[in-house]
Amino acid sequence: MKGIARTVLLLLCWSSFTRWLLGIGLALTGIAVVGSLAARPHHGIFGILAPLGVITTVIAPVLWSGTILRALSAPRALQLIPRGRLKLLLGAVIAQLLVAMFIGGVVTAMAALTASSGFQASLFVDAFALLTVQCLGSFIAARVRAGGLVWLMSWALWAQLLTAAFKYWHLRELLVSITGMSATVGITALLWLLFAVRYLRTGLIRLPHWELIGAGLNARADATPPRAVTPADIRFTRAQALSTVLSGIPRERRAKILRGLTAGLAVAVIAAGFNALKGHWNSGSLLIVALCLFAGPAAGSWAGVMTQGAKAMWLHAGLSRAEVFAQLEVRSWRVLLAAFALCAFLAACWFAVGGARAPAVAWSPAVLVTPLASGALFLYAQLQFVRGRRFMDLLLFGIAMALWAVEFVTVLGQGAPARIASLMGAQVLLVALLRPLARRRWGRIDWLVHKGRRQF
Amino acid sequence: MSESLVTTRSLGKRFGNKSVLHDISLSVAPGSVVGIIGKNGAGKTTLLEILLGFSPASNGRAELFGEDSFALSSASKTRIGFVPQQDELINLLTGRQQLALIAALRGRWNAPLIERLQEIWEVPLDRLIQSLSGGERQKLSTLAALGHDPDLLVLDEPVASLDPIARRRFLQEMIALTQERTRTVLFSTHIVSDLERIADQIWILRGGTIAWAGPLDVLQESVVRLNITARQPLPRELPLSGCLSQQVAGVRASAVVSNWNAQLQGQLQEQFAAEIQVEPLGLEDIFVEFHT
Repeated sequence: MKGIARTVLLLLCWSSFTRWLLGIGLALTGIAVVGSLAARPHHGIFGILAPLGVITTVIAPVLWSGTILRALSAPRALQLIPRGRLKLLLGAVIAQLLVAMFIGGVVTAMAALTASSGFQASLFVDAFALLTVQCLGSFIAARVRAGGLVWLMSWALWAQLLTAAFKYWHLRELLVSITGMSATVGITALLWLLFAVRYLRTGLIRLPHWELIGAGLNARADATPPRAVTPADIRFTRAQALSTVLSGIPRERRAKILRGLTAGLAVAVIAAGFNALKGHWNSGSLLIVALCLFAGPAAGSWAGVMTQGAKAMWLHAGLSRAEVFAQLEVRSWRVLLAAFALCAFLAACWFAVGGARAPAVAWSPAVLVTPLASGALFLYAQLQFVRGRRFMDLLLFGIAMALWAVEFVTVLGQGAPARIASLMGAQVLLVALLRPLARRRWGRIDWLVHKGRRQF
Repeated sequence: MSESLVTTRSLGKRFGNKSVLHDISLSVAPGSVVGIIGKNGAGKTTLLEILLGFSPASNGRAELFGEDSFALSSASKTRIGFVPQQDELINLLTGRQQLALIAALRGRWNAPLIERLQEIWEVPLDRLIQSLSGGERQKLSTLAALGHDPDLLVLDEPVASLDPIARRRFLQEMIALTQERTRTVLFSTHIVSDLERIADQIWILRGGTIAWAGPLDVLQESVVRLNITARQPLPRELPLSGCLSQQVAGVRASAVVSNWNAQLQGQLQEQFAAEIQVEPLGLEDIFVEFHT
């Protein structure tokens, strides 16, 4: 029992950062539920806090539990522990059950406080099924690219489950029906069973290939002899060399990632188009706005990846600390502006054509600027992480996350344009404060403290 | 007298309340091969990284080529090659791509030298770095540090992952490299036999401070074991200056001192009316004595 409990704990929070996330998430959720109880029949601000709390609590296990399970399963010493793998497997199942119960429980509680609805069994069942797919998908994805595809596809299912906004190609009605639920339970049980048989019988489980997670190479590449390096492979300009060293990703791989993102974007645009063709203009608008909202933080967070490779700039590239910061800043802004330009173009085109036919979406020109403001805040929040893991830096990042989450809910929830503008104003103000702070920190950066990228 | 390439004055480093280095004042002349030796956690990496400007000193000053290490100019950096303890290679590149990447950043590249070293050290350049062994990675890291023909080569435990044969080859090549033109080498290690092979200067780091610094031959002459046989019982603790360890049993005593010379021998013989036998120590014994 002790081994199982320990596995559950590790899968839910395996590092100090994830423990912080779990603690903050649980606290936020608790405040939201108690606050809603006091404020009923309306949720007020607690209606925003609750999803924020749930996301903060479950984000780490949702994203990483499969990878962590693999990392725990790999040591050969595990085979010396009686029923070691079985304990890990049971721990993984219980961890997913707990997360599903938490999601189902909080959503049910929040709904019951206003609408007096009963326990939403479908939510629990579907959440457990999706968590299963994600856990097993990331377990496989840590070595084989195909697992990454399964893992990515499960996110589309989450979107289907959580919102009914996308009318076309929608599965929610099916997922919440008795037939759908029975099928889901059956499929989930079968998945765990198949996984268990394979997992318990496999002789050697390899460690996660950390750099391959998500958009990785096929793990079989290890076994095949490397192809000959042609002169074209090894010709770098200084700018290309800087990009590669900062990101730690070769340009061929960066091109692949970019192609993947472009393909994802194309799918989203086609989905929005199909919704529009079927007359569901609101669904399409929501999709485009959601894209704009996600683009900012995703592009801004690239700065965090690049800070990991910055140490090499000092000696190899001969840059001063101020020049290193300038390089990071310029390159981060380039990514952010590219994302912004793309989103703004898409949004402008969409709303020029169909904006009038999508009255349910609180359309405001401010939405166009959203990726820029939230992205810039994420960018400078990431650039603060040069002093090891400090509470104040985590708090700053938490504030950036919270502002973005509130903005996300406000925009999608058709909040007043003035409120959106004030949120963006707060983000811009924080950017103005954080930039000189980041610059000062990089001017005194100690690379014995900020060690940068670690190779696994 | 030639100008110092590396100079430190009362250098100290603290992380929070923990003092890692304190009061280190040293200098390195061009063409020297300096071996830094110390136990794990003695502060070798910290000292090297401060010298290279990666980390600011908490006290004192470190200078490289006459410039403050923390604000080294680009011109000075092109004269430095550094092999860190944990390599900073990019796993998803091949060795050849990694070298090309460094060449692009450095702006100059001695391709014939790297080709020669690659053949001698048998570095597989066409394999992905993630598939290389620890020793192969270390050799590749060294190639990357040597490609731009640095005047100062800093190696942080360069042979830790190499097998004895590879280590010998590596060190032989290091000696050749320092001899073929004036190149200064600063390297840290805890393998003392390597120091004897290539270092002409030794710094012994103990508990964040320099316990001994100077030429290797002077170290071996200064640190000796004294076997003392007196006519009368000796005091429990012998008042020996520079004493690293001592054992006294009646009329016999054994002590290791770090400042031995002929004058001291005369003084001791007179003081204790004793016969003193001087036993030279190997470098490994000297290292152990400094850390006992």
